[in-house]
Amino acid sequence: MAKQPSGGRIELVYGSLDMLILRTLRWGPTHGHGIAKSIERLSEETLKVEHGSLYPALQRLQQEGWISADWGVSKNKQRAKYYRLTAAGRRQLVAETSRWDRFVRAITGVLRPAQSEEGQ
Amino acid sequence: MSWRAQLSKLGALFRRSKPVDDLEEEIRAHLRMEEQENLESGMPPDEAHYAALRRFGNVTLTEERSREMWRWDSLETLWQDFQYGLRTLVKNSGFTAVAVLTLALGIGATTAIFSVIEAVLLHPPPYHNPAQLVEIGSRNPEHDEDSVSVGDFADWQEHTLAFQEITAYQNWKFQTLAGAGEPDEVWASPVSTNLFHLLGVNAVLGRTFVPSESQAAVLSYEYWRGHFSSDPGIIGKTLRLDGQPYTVIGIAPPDFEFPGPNAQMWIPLTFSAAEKNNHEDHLLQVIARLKSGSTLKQAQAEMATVASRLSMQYPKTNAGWSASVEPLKIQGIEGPLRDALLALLGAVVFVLMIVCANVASMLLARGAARQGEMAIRAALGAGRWRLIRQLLVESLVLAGLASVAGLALASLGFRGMVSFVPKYSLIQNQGLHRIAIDIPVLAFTIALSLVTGIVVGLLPALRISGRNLNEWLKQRGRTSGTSAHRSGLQSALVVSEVALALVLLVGAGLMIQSFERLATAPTGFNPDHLLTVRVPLANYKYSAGPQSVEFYRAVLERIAAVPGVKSVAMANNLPFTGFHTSGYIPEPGNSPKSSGEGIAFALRSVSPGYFRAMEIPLMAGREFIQADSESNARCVRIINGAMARRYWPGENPVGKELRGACPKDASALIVGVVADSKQNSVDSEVEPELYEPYAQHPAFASFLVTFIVRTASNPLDLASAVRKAVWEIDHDQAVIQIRTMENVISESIWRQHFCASMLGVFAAIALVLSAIGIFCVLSYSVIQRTHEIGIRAALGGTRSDILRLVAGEGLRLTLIGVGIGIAGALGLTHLLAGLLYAIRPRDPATFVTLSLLLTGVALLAMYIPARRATKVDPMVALRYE
Repeated sequence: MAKQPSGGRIELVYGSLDMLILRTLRWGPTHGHGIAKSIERLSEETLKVEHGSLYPALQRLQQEGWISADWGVSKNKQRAKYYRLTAAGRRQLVAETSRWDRFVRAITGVLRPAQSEEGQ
Repeated sequence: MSWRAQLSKLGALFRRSKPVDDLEEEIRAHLRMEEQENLESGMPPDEAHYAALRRFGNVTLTEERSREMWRWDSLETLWQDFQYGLRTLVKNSGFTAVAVLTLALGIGATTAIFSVIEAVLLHPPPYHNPAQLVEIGSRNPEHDEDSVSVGDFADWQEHTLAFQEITAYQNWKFQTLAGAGEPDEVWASPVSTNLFHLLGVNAVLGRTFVPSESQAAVLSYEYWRGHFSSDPGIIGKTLRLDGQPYTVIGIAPPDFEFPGPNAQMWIPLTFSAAEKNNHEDHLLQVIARLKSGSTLKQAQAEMATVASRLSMQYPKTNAGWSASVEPLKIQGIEGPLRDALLALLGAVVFVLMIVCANVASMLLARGAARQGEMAIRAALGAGRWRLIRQLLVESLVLAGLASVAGLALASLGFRGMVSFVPKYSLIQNQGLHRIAIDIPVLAFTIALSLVTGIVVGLLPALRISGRNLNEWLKQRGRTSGTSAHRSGLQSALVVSEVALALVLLVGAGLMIQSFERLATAPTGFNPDHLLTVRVPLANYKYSAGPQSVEFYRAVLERIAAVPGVKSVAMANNLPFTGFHTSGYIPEPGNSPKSSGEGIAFALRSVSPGYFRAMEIPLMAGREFIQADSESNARCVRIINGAMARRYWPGENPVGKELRGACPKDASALIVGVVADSKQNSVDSEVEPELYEPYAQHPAFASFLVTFIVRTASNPLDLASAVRKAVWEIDHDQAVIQIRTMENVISESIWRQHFCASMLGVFAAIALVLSAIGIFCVLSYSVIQRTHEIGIRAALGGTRSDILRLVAGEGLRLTLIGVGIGIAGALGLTHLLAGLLYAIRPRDPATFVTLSLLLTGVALLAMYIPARRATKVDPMVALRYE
């Protein structure tokens, strides 16, 4: 959840961060830094994630039982905490995604006609 | 948040190392990785470091937020609110003391009444699975009873299938306990040995009966505590009941009160072979436990079959008898006491409402003073909810403190309440000895203080937090504009307090007058200087004939010789003791209201000299004389005025014959008529009454025999001399309940006394609280209006103008309250009708007097604030701007 929008980056909608984290973890366990990087990479740097804001979200997801955490060693031989998706998390991701799709369709549906009217 | 998240939080509370404990390390690793990447993309080391930090954001905040995820955040801020509230309350210790005391009065009074109701009305007996328990009775349309013969019971025990177990007991059995200290009377209830097992009750000490045991006794907890100081060594000791030895084998649990609260011990009920064949005398009460799976209907059907078989088998004794099976009635409480308790509960709710109104109004006034504090907190970012919560926490802290003080008040109250309970009640003490602060009472008090805290706090909290605080900050407290609006709520609270107080005052006034009239109502005899001594005849020693007559005669003689005794008499039943003996004879032929139904009357066996000792005037004929006690004497009777008027109106009944009143079908000769005296209770109507010489009916209710001694000086001074006189005749004879006749009467109206006293206390509290309420509101309003009053004074308003201004406001509120109160009382006092004696529920004098009293007290409460208003210095008031 970024505080200020800057340089064409978009602030995250509240709650969507959870979904992005779960999505990222689908490709396998990774640490907090890895999650931040892949969100930025996958969104082609459009979504700005203040790295700090990841950690409260990670704690929350652990509580919900959607992810679990273990200490491991990164490729740079550093100790880091690796997060992985649990079965419950996988189910949650499916649910969230379909809800998100509906949300996007709805918003697009509302916005498009307005844009075309403006165009005329 | 989901339940799963809540659960893992709960887990985290107890786990030593929380998931966030390694957060710092995790974040450091994150920053190093970012720094590494930055370096790899060619940044200089310094910049790489700072860019990583920038990218991360606020590290401390992140850590805090992450940790918060694992905390009950709200719990912690609640704790802060609590501490802050406590500090504020300590700072305003005067306010806190008054508020806590007021609340404590309300909570204490309510707790006290609740505990009585809990002890008396809501105490379930400790029986195992009570739904399975049934009562079985014998029914016959011609008899008004449902007791069971021993023969029938023995047959049922053998031949029924619907019951797991079936057991019998006898309600009444007073026995003389001798051999250990002074001879005493005990209520030992004979029960079948399987009764305890059937009810599922175990002894708290020792054991209960085993089958075919006969000389054993189980003591009630209360009797064990009261008579043997809870000495566990009593087990195995022997008690002599009516001359028979019984070994104490166990102590029953404290809440086991079977068949009633006054049962002191239980002894085995056993039958001889001859008794087991007796289908004629109905002596037993029977209860049973249904087999699991069998229903009440099945049991009823089975018992119907059994009863009809028995009536064929024993047509002489069992024809016409059927059997009833009903769920076991848990012994209820008598109607009037229940009504009285419910009336008190209503009254105490009123007190509580007044208390709440009072404290709410105090909180409102104080809230206005804290406007600045609230405004600043709001400006610093506290949301409205947070402010409300803060104020609610404060009022809950008040209520919590008050509940502690209230419990202390309630336990003081218990002592007062228990002192009303009759010491000598033969039948029941109504379970009042159970009053205690037990778990249910404690739970009630806690719940009550929570509710009270919220009730008194919510309205002021909403009001204070809802005001436009920015407005306040701009005005800096110049509140004159909004004061009218604000005091509206307070005025409403005062009006309702006054109204509630008046309803309580009227209720209490009615009850107190009713009690006074009851206490001074004529009884028909002179209770002054009269000592009464119960001497329950030891039946096992004296046969019902000449032996007991001789015993009574000797005792009468011996007591008459005691110095200071003016006269002495005996009766088998004293008025107002809760016992009522009655008789039934065919109607005399010339009765004007002959309905063929016969005469029911109160019946009393008395010694010669009874009417002289009681000072009941003789209206015609003569009293009983010694010659009436001779064995060959003519059967004679004396009647009271009510009986004379009813059956011989306008005639002299003396010399008339009364059929059916004597043994062996002899007819009785009426030898005298005495004035009416009350029999059952002070407030009952006088019934027709028949007196017989005790020697002519000596076995009749001998366990109630009471001697009446008219004394020259204080009756209680003669107590030990009278007791010694009886013991000179028989040292094993119980001589108990030595007390004055005045005590007999006052104990008979203890319920009314209790109710009137409690209501009186409640009404006094209500009166004081509403006076305080008026005082607070007016004081507050004077402070609020200092400016206005100053202007009026400056413009030439006189002292009396200002007095009128302030007192006028108070008087207006009081009168509105009194008006509403009168209307409320008119609507409510009829609920008391059943409890009132010789006064109407809408007694105008009571209404007028108490309205005036309340208004007078309100005027007193207005005096101080009004005077303060007249002393407002115009200059100071104006400069206040």
